[in-house]
Amino acid sequence: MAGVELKSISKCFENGTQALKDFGAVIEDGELVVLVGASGCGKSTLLRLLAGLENVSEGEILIDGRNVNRDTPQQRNVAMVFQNYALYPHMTVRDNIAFPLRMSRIPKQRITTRVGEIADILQLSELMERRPAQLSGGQRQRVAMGRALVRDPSVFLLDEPLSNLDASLRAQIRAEISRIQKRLGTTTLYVTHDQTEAMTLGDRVVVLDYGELQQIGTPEELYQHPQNSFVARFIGSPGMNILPCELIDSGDGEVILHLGGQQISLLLEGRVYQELVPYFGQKLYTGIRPEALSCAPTHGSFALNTKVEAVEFLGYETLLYLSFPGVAQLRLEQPIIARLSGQHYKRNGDMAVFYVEPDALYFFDQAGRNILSAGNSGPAPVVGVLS
Amino acid sequence: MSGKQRIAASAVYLLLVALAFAFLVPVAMMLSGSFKPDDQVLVQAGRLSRLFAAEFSWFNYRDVFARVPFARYLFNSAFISLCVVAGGLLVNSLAAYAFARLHWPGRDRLLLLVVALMIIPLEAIAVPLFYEVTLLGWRDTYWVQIIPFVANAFSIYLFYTFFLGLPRELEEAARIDGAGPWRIFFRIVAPNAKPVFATVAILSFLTQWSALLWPLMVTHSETVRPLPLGMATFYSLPPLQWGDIFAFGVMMVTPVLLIFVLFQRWFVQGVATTGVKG
Repeated sequence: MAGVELKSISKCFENGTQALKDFGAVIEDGELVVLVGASGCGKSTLLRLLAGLENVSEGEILIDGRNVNRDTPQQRNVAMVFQNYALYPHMTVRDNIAFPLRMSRIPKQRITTRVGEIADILQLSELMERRPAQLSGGQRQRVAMGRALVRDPSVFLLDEPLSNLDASLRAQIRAEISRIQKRLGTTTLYVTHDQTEAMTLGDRVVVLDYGELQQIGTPEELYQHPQNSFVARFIGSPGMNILPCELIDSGDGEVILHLGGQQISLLLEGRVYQELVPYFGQKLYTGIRPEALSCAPTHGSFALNTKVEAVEFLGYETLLYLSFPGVAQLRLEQPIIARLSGQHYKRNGDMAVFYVEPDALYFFDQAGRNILSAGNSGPAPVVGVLS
Repeated sequence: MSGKQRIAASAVYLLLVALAFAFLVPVAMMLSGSFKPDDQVLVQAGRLSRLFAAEFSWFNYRDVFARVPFARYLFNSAFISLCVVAGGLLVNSLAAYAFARLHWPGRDRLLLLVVALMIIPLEAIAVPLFYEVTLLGWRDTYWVQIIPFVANAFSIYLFYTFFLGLPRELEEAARIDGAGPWRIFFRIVAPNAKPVFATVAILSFLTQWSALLWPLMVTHSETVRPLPLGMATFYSLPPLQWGDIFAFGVMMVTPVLLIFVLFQRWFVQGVATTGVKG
């Protein structure tokens, strides 16, 4: 086991594509870190750089404090599970798992023992003489993990290992991966484009966009304190509603929030007020989580008048797609989504009033940065609503 | 299946049977003629009713062995063909792998040259090649019939297209598992490329087994003479006996058929995968 340090990593391919830009992160020994981002954001490239399948253009990769930039994949002692598992089709499960040990010229007796141990951990003992074509998706996935774990790697890399599985199997294997990782304590980097996977699996989550690090933190930090509107939109299912707004100073800590053609008076806490002062009168964005929109008023909440555009009933919850009456949909850039538990009998075109607690509001500048400083970058501690 | 479909299917089957019949009759004639006395071979050649000999005899076969060193020709052809096939599988597959997977300067231009070489027939370069092997002092040897044919542009192209289709992750997984380039090729790539290996083996074996022009140019002694040249010589050897010639033909064709039957499964798979016409 070993920690991993990525120092100012950049990767530019021969065709000029810049896959990663000045990426830096430290992964602690035994930690499970999930790299998440949209397709093409550079997360798989980062894994391949770490595995030694690609060379970095700039920067340093340190495993257990040692620079491994020039090391071969084997010298790095990393193991990887590929998206399509990459099992050797002509070999049995036993031979697939034993292959890395054979390449290391380990004595046969030890190979047999070690393969047996891994087969027990992954419940593969019954399948050892089968070939990959004779296995189900979940079984193949376990064999791929077995092959990766068999030589006790320093770092374990998983590249979207669940993307070929159906939803129920995915949840099951996800729990299994988490269990095995905790049991073995191997430093693990896990790539996915699915934020649910990222949030449920990762000790910490790294959010990437266009090759740039957006934020690194625990799932709670990412959800509660997104550093920018990209992270706010990406984390959460559905992601945060980001709506254009304007703050007008009324003096004495009171501001008027112009949102969707409506004016809401907010009484801000002094510290928050001071941080927002430079942005008064500017075009800003406010963020509201879909689950922060409620049908029932609570103490201190303010009302938002909306129009229902579409309804998605999911059984345990309902998603309502909303717009502000009289405001063109285009100006909102994206629909407003409200996530309500249970079933709601709203129809397309209905008018609906939703209530939001002021401390559920986030504020982002034009560049998408969370305006409130790190300590305050959660929901703005707004004291109350004046009208 | 509707009535129309049944009629269409029957018509297709009828056509296929007619085609199979047209292709099989000459082979059957040759086989039957090889067991007949020489005076009956041509007389009965056009009559299907007389396809099977009234008297069955191995005489023609004995005659071939008595008149020419057939065993020597057979050995020569087998040795030359197997050497070309074995060497070709190794050299061409490795070259194709380098084209398909490795990065080196000038790779794409050289690949273009290899593809262009496919359209140059042996007849076009036979004379310059003859001068070259004469300079090297290789004439009338086995090597002159083997070495110029080991590297083959068409085989390289077949391997190349197949390797391009193999999932790259298999090789990357092997690299991470600690395998070097040679082990990756022999332990991972080659076992997963059996169909194309079989296709190339059969195609190059067939080409080599039936080679006539080149052996005619570069060999003169019987010790290195292959079967097709032996057969051509046999034709011109008086007296002209068709039964003997048929027997020679049967013995020449049998190994090819056996090899095809043995590798048929992989061959068909390989032809389908590489898009080669069989």
